[in-house]
Amino acid sequence: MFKEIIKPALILFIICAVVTGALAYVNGVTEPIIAENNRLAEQESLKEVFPGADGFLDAKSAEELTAQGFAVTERISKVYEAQKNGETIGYVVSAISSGYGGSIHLFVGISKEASITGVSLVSHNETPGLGSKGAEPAFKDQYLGKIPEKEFTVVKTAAKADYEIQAISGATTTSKGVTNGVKDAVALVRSMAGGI
Amino acid sequence: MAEKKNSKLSIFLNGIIKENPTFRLLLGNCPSLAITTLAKNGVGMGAAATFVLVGSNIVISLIRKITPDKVRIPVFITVIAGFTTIVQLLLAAFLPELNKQLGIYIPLIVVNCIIFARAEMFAQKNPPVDSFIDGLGMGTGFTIAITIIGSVREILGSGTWMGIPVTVNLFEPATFFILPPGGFMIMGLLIALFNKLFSEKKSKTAKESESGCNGGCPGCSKAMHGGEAS
Amino acid sequence: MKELFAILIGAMFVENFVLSKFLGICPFLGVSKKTSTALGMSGAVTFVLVLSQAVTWLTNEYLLEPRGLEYLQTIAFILVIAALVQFVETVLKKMMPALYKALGVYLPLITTNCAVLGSALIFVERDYTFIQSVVFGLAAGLGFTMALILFSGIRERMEACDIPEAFKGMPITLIAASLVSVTFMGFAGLIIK
Repeated sequence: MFKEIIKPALILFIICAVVTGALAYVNGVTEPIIAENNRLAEQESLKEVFPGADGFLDAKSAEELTAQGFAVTERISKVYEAQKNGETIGYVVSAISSGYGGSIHLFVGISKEASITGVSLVSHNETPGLGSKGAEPAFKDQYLGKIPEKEFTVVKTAAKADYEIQAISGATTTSKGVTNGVKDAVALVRSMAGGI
Repeated sequence: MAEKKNSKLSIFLNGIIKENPTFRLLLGNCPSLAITTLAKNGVGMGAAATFVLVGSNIVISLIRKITPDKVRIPVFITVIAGFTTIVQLLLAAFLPELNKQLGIYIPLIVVNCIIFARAEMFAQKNPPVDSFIDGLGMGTGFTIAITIIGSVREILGSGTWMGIPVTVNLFEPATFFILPPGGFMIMGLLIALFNKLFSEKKSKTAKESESGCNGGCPGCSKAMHGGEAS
Repeated sequence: MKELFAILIGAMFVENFVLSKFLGICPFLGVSKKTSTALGMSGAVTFVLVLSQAVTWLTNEYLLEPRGLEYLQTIAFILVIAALVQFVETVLKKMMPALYKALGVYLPLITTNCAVLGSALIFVERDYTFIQSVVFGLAAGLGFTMALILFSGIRERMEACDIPEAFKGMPITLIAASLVSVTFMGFAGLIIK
């Protein structure tokens, strides 16, 4: 009875325990390093879309912002306050919109005056060579510095107005996806900065 | 003495050509197709898998005499999963870029048939040093294979190699090759090429490999069957 | 409700597990020679997928996450899956011995099927709810089934063809898979509004 069932089970248990112990040790050593990596990566992404800031406050979630009565849509994920010398000079909105190959995760940097300081595609599943061009400056720099009087709209020809964004040829859906995210981010910041 | 040395070398070389896990044994196909969009991914994944393979081969070989046959499979799983998790954590801490590129395929190393098959076919029956060498050979063979696949796909699909522009400034690369269908196609063509180059009298090998997972997968699952006295 | 439908269609067509995510390749290439085995295998995989999504989700939610043990996900999930497969095997042996025999060695293989562990890792990554995870697993299984059945039909046809020596077996199968994968790419633009 012992040999048949208990012994194998016991040995298996001991092996499991040893392995788990080893993992707990490795985890203990690497956890702080991983956390720091994540923090640095986040800071880098935030700075990329808001170069003028020297610090960012911890993000507020979409729920918190809705509770405060701001213009939150379902594309909004969270918002970081961008600061310089301790003063809030703008926001970075984390938005998730649908593209061609799935979700596009955006960081949109917007100053308090509602002008766009930067757009970056943090992660996406768009077609390499086509929709992936949405992450390139040729496309996303179109948003920079704009304070459009109307909502951003995607057009297929050259943009004639401030609020027109020219689509990537062959990747209209991606272009619309990015624009939708930026659009919602702008609307949100406008409501947060006092309805400008 | 010379004989022993020879056999150690032959164990190592076995994994590179004669029983190359990717091109011959046809094991570990999931990552071979999924992450080989860049040559450097091939190197990274290969290195990670080799780490797990070597580690688990050694440990399983070390405890082979005290592992009861009945619980052999759960023990393999636990050890392999342990090493996989260690690799996961190390990559996340020290090579976050690579970690992001390889994504869920890192934890999926635990179900990579190669590791399981070697544990069952070799490590369970051989001393630790030999198992170490076998792991190293198989891992190296795997790494070479997927780096080749990755290189072909990267050059054809992006015009670069290891990030260095190769043909990208000469003509427009064919994106097809870094998309899923391209992966299937390149792998199929490369296996055919490998067969052509290294298959002496082997119309037999071709027939065997029709089952797709040959001695590899069904072999190790047959073992699972027998192992779990049911 | 709509988002569940989106997950279902998404995992079946747009990100078909086999043809797009490369999960579940081994059995796909190995088993898909006859339509009847293909059907049996994919049925078993789908069943295990749904069960494993449920159990691994619960394990993660109540055992691992509350204690900050996320690093044990890989090992916990795979052990759960192995146990489930063993359970399914035992049940099949008692209740459907014919199917058990037909599946033969491919049943324990489900444990090392990338699709099963892969689905679990994905629900963690995407932070799905319980229902979403299970639907996702179901969709993955159905997508796997679709790909397998389609492919077995193609392979049955291929048997009658004259194939060059070096291409026999795996290579020609992969090239055929490549073409099927291209057709599935056509679904990529499917957006559920």
